[in-house]
Amino acid sequence: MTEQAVASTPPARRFRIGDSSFALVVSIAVLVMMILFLVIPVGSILLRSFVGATGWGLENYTETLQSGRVWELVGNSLAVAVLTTILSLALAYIYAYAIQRTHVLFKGFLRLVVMTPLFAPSLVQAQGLIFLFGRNGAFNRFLGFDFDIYGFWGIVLADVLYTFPYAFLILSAALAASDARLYEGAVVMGAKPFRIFRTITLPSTRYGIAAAGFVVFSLTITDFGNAIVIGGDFNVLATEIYNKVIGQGKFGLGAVIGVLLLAPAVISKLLERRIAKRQHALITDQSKPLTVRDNRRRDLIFGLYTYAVACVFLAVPLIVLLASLVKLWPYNLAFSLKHYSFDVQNGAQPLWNSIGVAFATAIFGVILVTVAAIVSQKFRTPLRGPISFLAILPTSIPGMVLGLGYVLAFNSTANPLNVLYGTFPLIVLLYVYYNHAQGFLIATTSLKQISATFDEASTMLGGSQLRTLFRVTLPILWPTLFGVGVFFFMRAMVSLSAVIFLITPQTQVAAVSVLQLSDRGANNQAAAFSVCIMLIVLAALLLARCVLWLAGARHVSLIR
Amino acid sequence: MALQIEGLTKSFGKVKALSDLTLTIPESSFTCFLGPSGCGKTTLLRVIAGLEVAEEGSIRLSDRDMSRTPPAERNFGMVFQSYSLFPNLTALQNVLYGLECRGWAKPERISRAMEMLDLVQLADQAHKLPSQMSGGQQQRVAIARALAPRPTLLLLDEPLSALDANVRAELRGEFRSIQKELAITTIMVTHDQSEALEMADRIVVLNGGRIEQVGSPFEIYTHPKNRFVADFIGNFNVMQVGVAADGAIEFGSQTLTAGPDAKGMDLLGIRPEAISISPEPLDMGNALFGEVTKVRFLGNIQVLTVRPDCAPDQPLDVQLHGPEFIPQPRDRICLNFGAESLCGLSQ
Repeated sequence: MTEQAVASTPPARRFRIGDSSFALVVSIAVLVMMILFLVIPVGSILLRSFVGATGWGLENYTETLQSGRVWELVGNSLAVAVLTTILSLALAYIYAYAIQRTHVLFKGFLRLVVMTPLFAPSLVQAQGLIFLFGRNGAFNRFLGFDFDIYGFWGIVLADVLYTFPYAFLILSAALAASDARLYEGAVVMGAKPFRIFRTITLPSTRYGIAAAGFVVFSLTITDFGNAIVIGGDFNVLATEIYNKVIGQGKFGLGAVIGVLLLAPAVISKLLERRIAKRQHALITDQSKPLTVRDNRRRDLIFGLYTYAVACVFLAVPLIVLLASLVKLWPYNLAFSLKHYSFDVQNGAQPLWNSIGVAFATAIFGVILVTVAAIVSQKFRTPLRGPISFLAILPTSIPGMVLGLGYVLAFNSTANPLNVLYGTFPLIVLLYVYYNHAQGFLIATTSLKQISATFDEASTMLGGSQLRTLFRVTLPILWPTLFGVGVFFFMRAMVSLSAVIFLITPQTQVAAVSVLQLSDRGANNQAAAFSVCIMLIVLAALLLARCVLWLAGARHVSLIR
Repeated sequence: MALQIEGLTKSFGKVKALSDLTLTIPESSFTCFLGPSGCGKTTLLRVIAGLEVAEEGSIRLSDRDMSRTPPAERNFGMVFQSYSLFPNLTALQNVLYGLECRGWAKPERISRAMEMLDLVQLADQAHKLPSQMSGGQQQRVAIARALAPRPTLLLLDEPLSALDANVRAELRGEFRSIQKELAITTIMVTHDQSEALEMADRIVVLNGGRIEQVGSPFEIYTHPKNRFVADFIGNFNVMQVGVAADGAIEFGSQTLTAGPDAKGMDLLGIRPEAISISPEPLDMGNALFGEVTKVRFLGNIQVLTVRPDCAPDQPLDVQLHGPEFIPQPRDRICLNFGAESLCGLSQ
């Protein structure tokens, strides 16, 4: 008997790739993509900020930091961001409180209304405010007011509206988690409502408040669309990059401001992560959910507040819709559909481009984040650490900065991928990697919820990792991944700041058209574009909801 | 096929889950790994399955070294505690899964899968999804799934502990009869001693990554080797005894007569049900007088705690069946037991 006696192998199997080499190849591919489309663009910004007219050095930094202007811009940006954060948090907290802790009517409607900014191009708030309060706005024109909305207050107001849904989603989740035992204890001990709020409600939601604060702050300080439309002569860092790069072609100086913008965003993200780590264990499995008691007076007060806020949120898209449907706002209010004929430079082409780009972003985005999530969760290769880190890096990179990084990286003929420059695929990749973190986190979370024993059961039955993936994991996961696709679609339809530098006349997308049209004063056509974008996003959401409903997956949230 | 395990060592960080463990599992036997949580029983099963890799030692199946074989190629069947049926596949598709992995032809695999479902009496549920079945049904499908590809070894990881008590009792018998019918070498991990006693041919008691005792359920129950096994398998009275110069066993102030395996041991054990009570000594070999300190009524049995006169600091439990005669606290009674019911325990 020799070694050959061992030849009593199990029945013949089909050929299959070795699991470990397959895992390694896929992991390397994911990492290479991340390096090409994330690390190199961000690296290019850092690198370029050190390249001045006379070669390498700190020239750009000294030039930028020595001028008084940059400090004024930093001051402006900080002032806008701090004030917006305070206002947005306070308003969203009360709104979320009303929905979670009182009996206001039509909560579903109230929830949906404040989400509208997520469905609209990220400058529609400024657009709407101008139609309402601008020089030719409804209030000044027809009601005899004399508002001057352009400038600091305009940006703050627009950004409050723009950031409100993000703050609301976080605060609402924080307020939804509550432990009735604490409240019952306080009531039994005779605490009055305000005292209960101060000693129980506020402390138990402080992490949510902090998290929402960081999100709002970094959204505001990097927001470009609203600031450029309604800012007037009031400049902030985000608009300055645009002026330096598009207006003056000074890429080095733009890169320096990009680095400046990166700093607060990164710091607030790091703080947010530290705080999020301490957030757990507030609610244990023994907690009893709070039931809201009846209180007519309280419900009335909160009802008035929520409906007032809802009116403001409805007013913005409605006035934009109205402006798109009249002959010439505000001089000729006769009904007209002529702005929807899009007899401008590219016609309706930007809309079709946007839809195409958004679909491609959805498909590639889902594939890329799913593969990244599987690689980081299931494949035990040494690359999983760096991949997880890079996968969530984009949350701390402002869209404009990443966009500028793409220009710097791919515009250079030294880059073999230079052929991508000025094409739709590069725009799609930018959208995918700009939104990579959120998509990745959703995919990872649901992967974690799929018990590891499915993998083990499949292995014990003789299945390879690939078979487990296609027969078990993906069929369980698809509704969530579908939701991730909808998220990518929405973001690609509405976000403006990321692609602003990558657009060429041949690759125009709708959100940028809105900006350029309102820049030229073609406000009614800009409004028509905005309305079309909103309708497309709403239609996509509705369609997605129907698909999920028909498939029996009703608990997938599509709005994030 | 017999399984030989030699010198297995495995640690998680600083915790040693298995230390130098050697064991043979005979062919066609039903072996239970029994022990408290954290004793290494599940780790041992997972190392056998190949889901964990041991740092040292070997696993051989009929003299063929399996230590480096990937789990997917070991051809072992496994059933998990949490059912772990694939939720998107029907019962039949779940059972077919392993056959598809092995490239069986379609007609063969369908007839094999139906045969397996028939074996667990679920052929009529073949097209249901796991979520439409009860826990017991799911676990039966899991058994059918594990057995379908004709594994050489069946591994059961606490397969019954997630089920309701009555379903558990039913499945104990069913698993055991399937195992006997197919004569498949089976290893089950459990922390429930009554499950192990009822189902196993052989029990391996594990503690702290080491084997405490291997034996038939009868041996383990009646003659635990040491204090740990005695405590873990049901209730046991453990008596600290002295050994006189002539070898006599002294329990406090009284001398006991015991079998040969108790010679020279300073710890003796006796099952509470091996003790009979009476007003006056019966002729059973040993008789101790004592005072009842506590009576617990547990339905079909009563447990008396008695303080023996000879060793008042070492109370003994006595189990009585049926309510024919229940002493009260402070009653004086006599405890009688035979020499052979005493067993010597190492520390």
